[in-house]
Parts: sequence; structure tokens; C-alpha cells
Amino acid sequence: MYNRSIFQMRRSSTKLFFCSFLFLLIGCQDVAKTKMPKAHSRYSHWLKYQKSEYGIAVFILDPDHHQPTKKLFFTQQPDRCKELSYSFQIIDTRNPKIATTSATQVGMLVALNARDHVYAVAGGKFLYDPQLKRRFNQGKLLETGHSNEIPFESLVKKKVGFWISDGMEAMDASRLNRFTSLGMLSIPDYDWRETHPLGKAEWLLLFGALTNQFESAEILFNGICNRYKEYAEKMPKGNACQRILVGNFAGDFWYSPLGDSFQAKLLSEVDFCTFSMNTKGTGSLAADAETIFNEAEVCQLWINPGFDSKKRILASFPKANLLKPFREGKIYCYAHNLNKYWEQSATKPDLVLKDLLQIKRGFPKGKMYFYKEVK
Amino acid sequence: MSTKNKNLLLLIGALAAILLLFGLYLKTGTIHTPWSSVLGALFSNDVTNENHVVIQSFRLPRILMAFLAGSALSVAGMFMQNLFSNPLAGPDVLGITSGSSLLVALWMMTGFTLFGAYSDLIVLGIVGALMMGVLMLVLALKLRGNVHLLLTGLMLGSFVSALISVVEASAGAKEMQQFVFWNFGSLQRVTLQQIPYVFTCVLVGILLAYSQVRSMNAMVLGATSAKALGVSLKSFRVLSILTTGILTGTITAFTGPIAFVGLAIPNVAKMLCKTQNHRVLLLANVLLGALFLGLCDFAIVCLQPLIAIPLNALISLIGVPFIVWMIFKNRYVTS
Repeated sequence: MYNRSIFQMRRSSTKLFFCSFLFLLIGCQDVAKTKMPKAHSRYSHWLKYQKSEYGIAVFILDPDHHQPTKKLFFTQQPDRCKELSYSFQIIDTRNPKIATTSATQVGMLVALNARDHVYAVAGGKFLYDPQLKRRFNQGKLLETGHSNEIPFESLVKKKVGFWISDGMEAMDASRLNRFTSLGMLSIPDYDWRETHPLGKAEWLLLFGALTNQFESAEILFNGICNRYKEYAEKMPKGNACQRILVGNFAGDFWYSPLGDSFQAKLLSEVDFCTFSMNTKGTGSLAADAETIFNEAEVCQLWINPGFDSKKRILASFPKANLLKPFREGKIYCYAHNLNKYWEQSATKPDLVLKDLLQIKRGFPKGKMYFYKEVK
Repeated sequence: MSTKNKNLLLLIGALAAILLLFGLYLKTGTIHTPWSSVLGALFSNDVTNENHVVIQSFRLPRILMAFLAGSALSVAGMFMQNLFSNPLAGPDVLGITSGSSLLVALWMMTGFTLFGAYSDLIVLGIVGALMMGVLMLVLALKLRGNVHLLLTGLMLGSFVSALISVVEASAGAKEMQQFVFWNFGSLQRVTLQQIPYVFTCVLVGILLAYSQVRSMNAMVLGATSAKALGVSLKSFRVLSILTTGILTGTITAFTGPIAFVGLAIPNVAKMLCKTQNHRVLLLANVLLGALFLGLCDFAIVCLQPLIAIPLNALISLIGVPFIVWMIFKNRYVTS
């Protein structure tokens, strides 16, 4: 209703156009009741977006409540978009200074060649990108460290405007208030809750919008999608899945990806399946040693044990030699370069798929990008 | 019934419960195992029989490790509580466990290898605990009061934990991952072939403890009275810390840090036995510690289809309310 009254009151041409867009964008209804008409995504469940002449409207949905938790309008002309401020948070994308909290976020900014906008990283030791590593070693990047110990003063000193979080602090109102009072905006990044690797990659568009490179991000994302599909199509259809082991023990339990996770989707693209893939959810399934021992009897392949050598696997889990793939089969992992995988796998799911295809079928030939056989 | 008979009954009951638990544990699991296979696996080793492999490779070493770890940590806790005349002392409280963790952390972060991956882990776990034990011993010889020693131990424990955090923070992602996995604490890492080594170390620790029963009984009256009764305080302290180091270091190396057992079980033993005779208390700690950790692990196995509870989480869930209850029961709070 309020939207309508504004629309009727202001009739200057620019504003009329903009409000028309708004009218279309939010369906001219009570914003609180609106469920993002027109905003869309290709694969992502929790990120929706809509381009307009003045900027990009982005909706971030809370995966637990399936409701928008952030409605952001990224623009280089914030002064011309004031009317949107009652339903969107207007984000000025002129020189954004960003604090990242995960390797995936760093990878997305690196993929967009937006390194200059990175002002803080989760930890220097988790960096893979050589340029950012150099900047970190020169003391030019902050370390955000543990999420409970946010270096607020350093962030303010560096005039950081955006804190990209994992979305967990939505539960911590006091922390959100502190960000607001310091003039920082906390943007939740739910890429880790996506069910499709391309859904995870689609979060590139959030970083594209934030760094005023939305078009570049779209081109990049389209390229990723095309290459991913190309590799997926190389897999003959209709074959029975090959049971494999995925994961490793942490304490007394083995953690294996659940059926709705993007990892499970990647594995199923090449007809790999695990005992946990018939279960719902995007997290991991905990299984005991006996379940794994039983499962291993029908497996010849073990993926992602978390270590780069059999020696290390045995040091962590001395009974690994009871598992058939360890004794007789093959083991593959990305652990020889963990940082590379954590930083790049979200923006290069096509290459993860290519590696898996190579593990499964032996082609395309050549060196794998992320994976290596564990010996 | 006299206290002596009651205690005898309690110890026999605990032993019977352990044997019953042992049988049930070997029978229970994800893979269905008939009793005939359980008995068969105990007396023969047929590697082609899946049930035999499951029992000999997974269930048997795990439950034996639970028994050994429970006994060892409880006896170590009893020693600590007696030495410091404080029911809230324990190997994890005094930083002995942290000592093991520190060396293991350093070893994992540096990638330095001495004897081979797993041997290094075990040796360093024991050496770390003994190092902290020796440090505590040096302090014990310098400091007059047990309260000061306890406080120093607590601070050292925190200091070592802080050092571990610093080591973790400065380590590479790969090395940190391995340490995190170890630090979760797990009873299933140990293999049946390693059990004799663990058993030997634990037995040595318990025999050392048994040799100090007279001194421990005297220490109940206080250090001055114990001295008057002919107890050599210095040698008692040396042996106490050596024993605690061996018991805690061995277990920590094989399982990762396990909390609360060394704190809670000695108090339970004291409450149930209602005696200060450490010959009885030693036996009670051995049996009740084994029973407690065995039951915890059995609960984890039974609950696994519903919820995956890490060992330390379950122990803490039981241990923390118990400690709080104990503090209130003993009126350590003001009115």
C-alpha cells in the first residue's frame, strides 16, 4: 500500500521509471508479504536476483525458514535509488571494502579479479591465491580468525564496509547490531547450504553485484554452467551407480555427504553413490566403524579421505587397512593442496566434475586439476 | 552388613557388570552377530569370517580400550586427589593430558618423524604427559602447600592449552586437520595388536599405585601426619606423578584427550565405598572406571542409529552435572 502511495505522489520521469521497476520488482504489494516475484536464479535455492537499469536487486533467503533474510539493492547511484530504501537495503558499490570469512568467498572474489576489494580473510594460512598471499604477508590484509573473535576495531580502521558471513550470526542479534553501529553490513553467504554445485557457484553473482561486476560474473557463471554440462553429458546415461567410500573418521564417526548436498550431486553426475546418498539433507551422515567396514566390502574406490598419503590416513585411522579400497582399490583426494580446493572448487565445479569423470572413466586424459591418487 | 562386606559385594557386582557389558558389547553393533560368532571370534581368528573380523578388529579392541582407559584415568585421578588432598583434582585438571596434547600437536604440525607415524604419536603422548608430570614434580618439591601446587597445575594446564592453540593457529591447514581429528578423542583407533602394550603400561601404573597404598592411606590424615607416620613425602610425590604420567600419557596417546573420568570416578568410588582404605579404593577405581567408560561407549553404540554422540561430549554430559552435584552435596558453597 505504501508503495502505491509513493508511486502516485512522485511523477518525475526518472523516478517514475524507477518506481515502475519497483512496482514490477516487488509486485506492488506489501513488501513484507512479497515472495520475490521476478527475482530469479538458475540453480541457487538461497540467492535470487534481478537486474535493473540502476543496479541489481538481490534477495538472500534463510535456508531454515525459506524467507528472505536480506533484500539488497546494489548500485553505483545510491542517491537516485532512495525510494527503494523502504524495501531494500541500498548498497553503494563504489569501491566496496570486503571482509571474507571463508576460502570459498575469497575464491569468488579472485575469480572475478576483485582482489583489491578484499580487506580481510579468515586466515592467512588458508589462502591459495599467490597475490592475496603476498598481500597478507605484507600485512595488507586483516585476519578475521575465529568467528567469535571478530577484530571490530581493525575492521573499522580499515573502513571495511561489508562482512560476508556464513549466516550463522543471524542468531546473534547483538553481533548484528554491532556491525550496524559501526557502519558495516553483514551479508550472509549460504553457498554451503546449496544442493547443486552450480547453485553454489551461482553465489558468484552476489560478489559480482557487490563489486560492480555483475555482467562479468554472469559471463563467468554461464561459462561454468556450460562446461559443467559438457562434462556431465560425457557420462553415458542409464548405468548402475558404483558404490564408493567418501569421507573419513573424525573421532568415532565417519562423515559422508547426505543425499541433497552439492557433493552428493557431483558424485551422482558420474554415477558414484555412497551409503549416505539416499538420505535427505545437505550436511553429513555420521556412521560407525562397522557400517563403514561393511560398506567398504563392496567398494573399490575411496574418495576424499582428507589426507594426501596412506601413511597419514593410517596415522589418523589405524584400521584403514581393513577397508577394501585401502588394500586393493584406489584412493583419490585433493588433500595435497587443500587451500586450492577450498578456494577454487566452488567457482570451478566443472573442474571438480572433470576430475571425478577422469577417476571414474579415465578420460579426459591429462593431469587432474584438484585430485590426485593417494599412495 | 559391615562396610567391608558391602565393599566386597560392590566390587564383585562391578566385576560382574563389566563381564556382562563385555559380552553385550561384543554382541551389539550395526552388523548382526550371533552369540556363536562372538564366542568363536574370542577363541579363533578366521579372517574370512566377517563376524570374526568385526569383533576382533572393531568391537574387542574398542571395549578393551574403554576398560583400560577408564581404569587408568580413574586411578590417575585418585592419585591426584590424594596427593593434593582435593576432590576436584585430576590428570586433565592439572595439565597432564594437555602435556600429551602439546607434544602430539607439535609433532603433527612440524611433520617430524622419529620411529614412524603411529609409534611417534604414542611415544610423544607418553613423553608429553611425563614432561608435565616432571614439571609438576619439580614444582611440588619447591612449593609447600598442596593448594599452591593444585593452583600452579591448573595454571600450567591453561598455559599449555594456550600453547596448543598458538601452535594450531600457526600450523598449515593439512597439519591442523590431522591434529583436529586426533583431538576429537576416540576409543576405536587402537588395534588388537596394540592392546597388550596399553595393558602393560596400565598394569605398571596400577602396580605402582598399589605400592603406594600405605602412603595414600597416611596422606588422608594430611602431609604432616603422613610424615610422622614414616611416609617419605618426596618419594611419594615422585611416584604419584610418575604413575599419573604413565597412566594418562598412555591413554591420551592412544585415544586422544578424554575428560572428566579422572575427576568423577574417584569421587564416585569414595562415595560408594565409604572408606579411606586406598587398597579398596584402588580396586574400586579400576573396576568403576572401566565400567563407566565401557557403559558410555556402549551407550554411544546403542544410540548411534538415532544420534552420533562423540565420546567426550557424552562423558561431559554425564560428568558436569555430577561434579556440580558433588560440589553442592559437599557444601562447597556458602549458605
